[in-house]
Amino acid sequence: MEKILEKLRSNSLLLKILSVMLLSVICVATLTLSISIRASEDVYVDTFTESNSQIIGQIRENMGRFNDEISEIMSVIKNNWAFRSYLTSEDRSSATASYTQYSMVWNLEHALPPDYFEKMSIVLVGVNGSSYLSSDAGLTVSVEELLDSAVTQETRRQPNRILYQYVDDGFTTLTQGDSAIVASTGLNYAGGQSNYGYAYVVIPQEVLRDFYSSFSSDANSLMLLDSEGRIISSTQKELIGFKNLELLETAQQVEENSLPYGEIVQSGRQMAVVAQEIPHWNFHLVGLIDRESILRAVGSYKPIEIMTLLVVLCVFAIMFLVVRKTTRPIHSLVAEMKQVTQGDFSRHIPVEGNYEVRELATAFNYMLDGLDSYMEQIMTIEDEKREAEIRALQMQINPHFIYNTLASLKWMIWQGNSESAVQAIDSFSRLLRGTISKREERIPAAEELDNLKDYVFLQHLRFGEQIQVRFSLAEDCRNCLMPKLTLQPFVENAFFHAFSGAEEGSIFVSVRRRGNDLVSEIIDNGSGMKQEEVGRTLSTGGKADHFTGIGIKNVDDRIKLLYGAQYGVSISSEPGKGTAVTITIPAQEKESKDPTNL
Amino acid sequence: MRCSRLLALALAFCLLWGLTACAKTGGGPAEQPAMEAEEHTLTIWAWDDTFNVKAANLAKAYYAKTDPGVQVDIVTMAQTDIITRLNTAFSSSNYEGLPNIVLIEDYRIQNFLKSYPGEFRDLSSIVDPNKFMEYKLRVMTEEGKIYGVPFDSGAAALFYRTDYLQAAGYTQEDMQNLTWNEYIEIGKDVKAATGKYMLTLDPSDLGQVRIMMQSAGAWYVKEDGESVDIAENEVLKASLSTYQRMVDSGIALQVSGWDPFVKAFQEGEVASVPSGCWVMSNIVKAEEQSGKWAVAPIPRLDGIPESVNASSIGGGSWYVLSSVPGADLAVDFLGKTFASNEQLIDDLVKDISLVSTMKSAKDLKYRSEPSEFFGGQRIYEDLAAWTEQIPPVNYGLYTYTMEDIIAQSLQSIMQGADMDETLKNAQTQARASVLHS
Repeated sequence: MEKILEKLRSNSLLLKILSVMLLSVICVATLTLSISIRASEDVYVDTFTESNSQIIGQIRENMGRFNDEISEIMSVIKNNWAFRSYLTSEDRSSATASYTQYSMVWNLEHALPPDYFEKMSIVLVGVNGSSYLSSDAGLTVSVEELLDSAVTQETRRQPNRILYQYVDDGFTTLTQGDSAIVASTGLNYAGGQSNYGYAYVVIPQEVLRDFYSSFSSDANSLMLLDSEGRIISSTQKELIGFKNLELLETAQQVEENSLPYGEIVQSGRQMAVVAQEIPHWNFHLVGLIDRESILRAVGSYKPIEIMTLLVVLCVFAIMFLVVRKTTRPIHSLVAEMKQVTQGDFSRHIPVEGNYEVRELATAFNYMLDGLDSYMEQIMTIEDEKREAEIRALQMQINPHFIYNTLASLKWMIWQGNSESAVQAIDSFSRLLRGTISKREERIPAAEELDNLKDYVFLQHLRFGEQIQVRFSLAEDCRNCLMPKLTLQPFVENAFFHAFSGAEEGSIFVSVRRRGNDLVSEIIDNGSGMKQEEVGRTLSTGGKADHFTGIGIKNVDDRIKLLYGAQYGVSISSEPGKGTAVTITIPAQEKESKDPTNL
Repeated sequence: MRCSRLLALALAFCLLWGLTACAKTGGGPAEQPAMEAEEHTLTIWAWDDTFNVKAANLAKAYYAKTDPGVQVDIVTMAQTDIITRLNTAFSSSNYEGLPNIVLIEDYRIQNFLKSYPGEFRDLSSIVDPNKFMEYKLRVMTEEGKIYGVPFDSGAAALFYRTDYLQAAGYTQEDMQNLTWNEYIEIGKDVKAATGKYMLTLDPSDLGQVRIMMQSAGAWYVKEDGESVDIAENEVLKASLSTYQRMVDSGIALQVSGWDPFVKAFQEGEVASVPSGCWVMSNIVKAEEQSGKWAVAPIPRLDGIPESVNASSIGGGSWYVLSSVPGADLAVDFLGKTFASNEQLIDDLVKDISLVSTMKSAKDLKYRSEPSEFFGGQRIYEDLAAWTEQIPPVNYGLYTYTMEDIIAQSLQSIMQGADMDETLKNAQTQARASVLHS
């Protein structure tokens, strides 16, 4: 978890760019897709509606022609003597009657256009009770019933028009039990008031449907509405016979305002309504177009959606690769820089990647170099300064030491102990020469020990010889160089602090090799100290009556300065038992051509 | 660089894949099932709801017992409509919407068989010529092959109202083996006694003339079926003058079309129906007239020695359209029903008063039963007996074309024109129209 978060954080630039890009690509794709789908749907629906209007126009034309044919038949029936004679004459058995009927049938058959009129029945009814039916069909109602029917009554009111009316039961055996449209007209003498008969053309639903059924599909339905809003014919058979005033109103609005289409909600579906009035028939031809179904017919958008998704994925993949390629150098730059912040100025950043990053890396490296050398310079100066300081301290012989030593000498001379005094003056002068006069920084171990012996001699002169000091110098270490006054501060420290109040004690100083190192040890059997005091001892500087300004701490600093951090001073001590100081430096022989040393 | 080229390639591949996927989804489901469904659906066209349509429905029920998986659609359609549709389809070779099985009147089948050879399936395999009556088979046989399954007999008979005749003083005995002149005389008496007409005549349909002609073995054409035989046809002349006498005597109610024809006897307006036995299914519909009807042999022509008291009118047979998918199934359907199933025929006798043309049908149960409606007469036996006496006639190809001409001539004759002169013109006209069609 942590790791993933860390990884994410380190790639945040890549992530940000990618997420912004992905978002915008998705937005653009979705927007384009939805807009284009919407637009194509609109275009499709409009086209469909437009073509439906044209279809309706065509159906209207066909129905107009149909009306022409019917009115032609009606006019034959009205004007031909045989029909009039058949419907008015009481004679039904004579040769004349035979001829009348023969002529009537012959005329009617020749007036009928071929084909679809065979599906229709032409019914003639006379007020005298006679009737005639074309085709093999029969009447399912009696002549009297037919004359009393609503269809006939309406015809009686407007006998000289051709009326188209809806009937629930199309009174012939061909349309038995089925609804039908009946075209009817009254038959009368020109200018006559009363009708001697009526002519009907019974048009089965099937025939009407033939006018438009080939134009309908799942998405659209076509229907005929009469002036009362009754659906008298429809591609959806179950609707026939029902009134739909809402639809009629919409259709009328479309017709009156010549709208391309109207809108209506039918059984919860949004429908477009195209409509035209059919002249003569007094019907409204209405097309209902179900937007949803049309769109379903358009087919699914899945392929397009999948395509878009694929394109988005491809674009994203390309983007990912490109962006990653661009940001990777920056990313590694950042990683490299992080190391620099941990203080390592020596690491250079690899110069690679695109131009900007390469420039950046070069500049960074240049800066790093500058920084590095500057730092080094500072370090060197620091070191030099410190060395100079230590050297200065080395040079400083504590005046108190000199006073005290001189006072001891004076005391010896005053006692007449001139031999000892001479010896002491020799030691003192040797010590001064060794420490102050000699310019060398480092001296052979033997010389250092000699100086130490002189110092111890002088201290014995002053304080008596209760504290014994023994020296051990390995033969192979005689010429090994060590910084001047390395051992002295520790011996001094042992003199002053290790034996507080004790009658006597001993200090053991040894110098020997251990491998390539030169190990010097100052061991006393004094009171020792606790571990925490050891640290304090190491960090404190020299005291007023010490031999030089160099304290224990300075020794350690100086060794580290000279030889490196792995060298230095270590102190181990135990209260009541004593203290052991170990000084480790590399064993370096003095070149033998130097003749000045002992 | 190479990386991006690779990517471009991958992208192009993706696009291509997407496009082909699009194209693939465009295709609809296979059309196999539709074809299969067609194989299991039969459509039958017939025209009379009380008669042949009912028969087809019964046959369907029988067939469902042997092969329940087959859907049979039976469509009622006006006979003229059927003829028009078949002609249109055959002449344009567009078989869409045509049925597998169709009932065609015997008068018309020759025209179809000759004009459109190959449109009907050879049914010799399922029709045993020994089983059916010869006069029936002859019209549907072409070069030794039988193209139809004979259905109803067109045997003509005289159906009459015993009550009306009794009122005019005639017994059933008096009605046997009449001549048309005797029939007219009886008609006059009936008219006088009851005020009812003796029969209906349809000026546009010369069924009566055809009955009279076939009773003497004559037709509008000679035996070859092609030579027009009108001007010199004594039988035709005798028939036409008989028709004219019937009209002039005032015993005939003039009706036009099927509906008034049926209504006339169902409503008791006429005393007799000299017609094909298929009219029985309509006669028995007027149940209140049960027991008041009887059947006698059809009258014969006076002065024509060949004329017998038996004739035929109409009658149809089943045919299979060879170009409509499912023809084999249709053959199987007919083979198992109308061509062989005597049980079915027996049921049809009972239900639709069928007079079958199947010879073996004689022994069936219902056939020998007395008919209550016809006053206990064993009508099916009688009709079967008369059927066997029907003189065979070759109707030729143009029965109805010529009948149109004769009907017109008949009107002229009745209006007073000279018969020989008129028929001579008719002969010329008929010959011309035959040549032209």
